[in-house]
Amino acid sequence: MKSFRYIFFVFVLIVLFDQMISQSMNYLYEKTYVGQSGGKINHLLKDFKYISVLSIGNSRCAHHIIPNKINENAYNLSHNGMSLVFHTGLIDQLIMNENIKIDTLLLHIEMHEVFGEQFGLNKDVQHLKYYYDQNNWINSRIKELSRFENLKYLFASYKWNGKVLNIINNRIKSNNQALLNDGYVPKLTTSRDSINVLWTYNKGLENDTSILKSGINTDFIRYVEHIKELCDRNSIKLICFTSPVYNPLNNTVNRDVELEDYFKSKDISYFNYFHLYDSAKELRSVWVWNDNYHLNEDGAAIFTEIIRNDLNDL
Amino acid sequence: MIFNSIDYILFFITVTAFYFLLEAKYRWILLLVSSYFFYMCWRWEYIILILISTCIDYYCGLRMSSKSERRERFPYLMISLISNLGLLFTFKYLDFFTATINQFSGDSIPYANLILPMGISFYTFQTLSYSIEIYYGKIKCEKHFGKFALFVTFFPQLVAGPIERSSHLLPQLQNNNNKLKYKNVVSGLTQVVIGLFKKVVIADTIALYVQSIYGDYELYTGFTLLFSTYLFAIQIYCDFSGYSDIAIGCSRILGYDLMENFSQPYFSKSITEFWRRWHISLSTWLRDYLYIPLGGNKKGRFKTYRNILITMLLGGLWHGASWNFIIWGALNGLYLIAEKKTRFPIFIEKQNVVVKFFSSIVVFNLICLTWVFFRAETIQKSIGIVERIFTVDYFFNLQIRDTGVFASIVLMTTFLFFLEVFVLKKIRLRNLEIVSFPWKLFGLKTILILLIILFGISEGSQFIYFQF
Repeated sequence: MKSFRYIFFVFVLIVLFDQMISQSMNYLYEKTYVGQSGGKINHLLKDFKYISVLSIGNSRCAHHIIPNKINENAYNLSHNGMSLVFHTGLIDQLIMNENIKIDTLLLHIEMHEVFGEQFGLNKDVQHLKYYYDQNNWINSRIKELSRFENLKYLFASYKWNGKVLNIINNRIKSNNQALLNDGYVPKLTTSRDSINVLWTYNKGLENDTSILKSGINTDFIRYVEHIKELCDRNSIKLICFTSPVYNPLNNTVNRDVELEDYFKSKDISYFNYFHLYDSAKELRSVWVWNDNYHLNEDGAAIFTEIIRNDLNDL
Repeated sequence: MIFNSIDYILFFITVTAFYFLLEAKYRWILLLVSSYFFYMCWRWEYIILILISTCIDYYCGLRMSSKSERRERFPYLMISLISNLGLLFTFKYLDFFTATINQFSGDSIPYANLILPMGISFYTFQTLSYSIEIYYGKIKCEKHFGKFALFVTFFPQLVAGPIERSSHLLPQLQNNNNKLKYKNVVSGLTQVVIGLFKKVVIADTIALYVQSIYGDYELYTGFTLLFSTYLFAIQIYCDFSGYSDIAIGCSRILGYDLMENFSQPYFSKSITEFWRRWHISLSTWLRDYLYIPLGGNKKGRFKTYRNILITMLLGGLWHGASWNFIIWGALNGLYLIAEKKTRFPIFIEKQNVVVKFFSSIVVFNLICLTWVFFRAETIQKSIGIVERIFTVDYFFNLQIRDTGVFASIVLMTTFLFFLEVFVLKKIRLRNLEIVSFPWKLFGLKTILILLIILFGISEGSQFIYFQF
C-alpha cells in the first residue's frame, strides 16, 4: 500500500509540474517570432496577410531562395533538415489558418525523398508536435509513428519535447525586430568551407546519387497529392522545384524524366535545377558554394534570379 | 522491445502486476515466458540459439555434478565451452575471420552474412560462468530446467548484462517468494529513472552530435574532434550504465538483486581503478575466468604482463569482431602493464587531492584516446581522427552545429555531473534504508521525469551494447 501511495504522489506531482511547464511554454511560444521551432510560422501569421510566393523546403530551400529578390510579398518558410512530411504538415496548418492569402506555393523537392529506397523520414513530423490536437493531418501522421505514440502526449509538456531551449532562446531573440525579415537565412561562407567543397567533391563522397533506386515512393506521392489538394481547394498555384548541387554526376537522367512525367500527370509545374551547375556558368565557382549542396549568399542571389525569371515566364 | 520505449514500460508494468498477484511457485513460469517473449520481440527465430545454449549447459551441469573428480568433469566442461564459444564464433566472428583471411591470402571465401543475435556475448558468458563454477566445484548444478532457463534469459539483464554469476542469481531465482517492498520500489524506481535519464536525455542527445562529427571527420578541426571524443566518452557511459541502471532497478522492484556494473569510472585515478569501476561484471568475469586461470600475477613479471595483454585483447574482441576493438583492448592492456610496472595505482593513492585530481584528468584523456578506436568504424578513420586531434592547424575552432542540441548537451551533462558528485556518490540505492518519506529521492525522481519528457530523445534508439 505504501508503495502505491508513493507512486501516486510522484504521479500527482509530475502531472502538476507538467501542466505548469506546458502553460509556460505555450505563453513563450505564442510570442516567439524567429527560429525553426514554430517561430517562423508565428512571424508569418503575425506580419503577413498576403503572400505572393511562399517557398517551403529544407535547408537547400532556406538558403537558396531570397524572397525579396522575387518580390516584396514573398516569404521563405523553409526549415533546415526537415523532410516532406514536415513541410506538408506545416502547409496544412498554415492553410487551415484563414487569415492569410497565398498566391503561389514554391515547394522544394529532394531527389532522395522521391526515389530513396528507405524514405524513412516520416518521423520528422515529430518536429510539429506542438500542433498536436490542433491539426488532424499532423495528429494522424504522429499516430502512425508507433503503436503507443499518442500515450506520450498524456504529458502536456511533451509537445515541447526537444524545443525548450530553442524556444526560450528564440523568444529572447524575438524582441529584436531586426531579425524579423522575409524568412531567408543567408549561408555565410569561410574560405575553408569553399575549399571543403572541392575536397569533398574530389573525394567523391557527396555526389554519388547512384544509390537512389528508380520508382517514386508512395510516401512522396501521398504528401504531394495532399499538398496539391490543399492548394486546389484554396486557389493556390503549386510549383515544385529541385535545387542545384555542385558538379552533379549525370546518372539521374531516367529519374529526372520519371519525376517530370509524374508532375505533368498531376498538372503541377516543376523546375528541375539539379543539373543547373552544367548550364549556369556563375555557379561553377566554388566561391558561391558553402558546401556541395548549399549555395552561399552570393550563390543564392544568382539562383533566385534564375528562378524568378522562370516564374515570370510561366 | 527496448528499455526506452513505451512498449517496455507497459510490458514491465504488466509483468510486475502479474508477478505479485501470482503464487510464488508459479512465478518462475511467468518470468520465463516474459523473458522469451521479450527476446522474441526482436527476432523470434533466434530464441533457438538461447534454447540450444540452455539445453547444453543444463545437461553439462547435471553431468558434471554427478562426477566427483575434476578430471571426469572436464569433458563436459569442454562440451559447454566448445558449443557456446562455437555459437558465438559462428554468429559474431566468422565473417571477420573470413574477411581477414581473404585480405591476407587474396582469396574470396564467401561470407556467411549471419545476423548477430542480440546479447549473444552476454548470455554466452553468463552460461559459461555457470559451467566453469560447477567444474571447479564452487556451486551445485540447478536441477530445475525451467529455473535454469530463467537464469539464462532473465529479461532485465538478458541482452546487455550485468553478466550475473550463477552463485549470485540462481539462488534468488530458486526462491521466488519476493514481496513488493516499499524500499525496493523507491530505490528501484529511482534507479530506473536515473537510467532512463542517462540514456534518452544524455546519451541519445550526444549521439546526434558525435554522429555528425565522426561521420565526416575530415571536415572538422582537431578541437571539434577532441570535444566530440570527450562527448562520446560520456555518451557510452550514459548509454551503457543507463541500461544497467534500468536492468538493476527493474529487477529490484521485482525483488531480485543484480550486481552493480558501474561505479563512477571517470573519477578513477588510474587505469587499473578505471577497470574496477567500468563494466564491473565483465572485468571481474575476465579476471576470474581468464586472467587467473592463465596464471594471473603469480608466475613472474613477464607472464603477468602477457596475461594482462591476452585478457584485454580478448576483452576487446568480446566487444566486436573488428581490428578496432582489438586495438582498443591492446591499448588498455598496455596502459595496465605500464601501471603494473611502475606501481602507479599504489603511488597515486598516497598523493594529495590535487595530484589525484590531475591524475583523474590524465586517466580520462588516456581512456578517451582508446574510445576513438571504439567509436570509429575503421583503423584508417581512427588514425585520421587522432592525427587531426594532434594537428595544430585550425585546432581552436569548435563547430557546434545545432545550437539547441549543443545547449542541451552542456546543460544536461552538467546536471548529471552534479547528480553523480553530490547525490549518487552519497546515496547507495542498493542498500537504501528508508525510515521516513524519502523527500530527496521523491524530488529527484520528479525532476528527472520532467527532464525526460522535455529533453529526452523519443525515437527510442538502440543501446550501443546491444550489438555486442
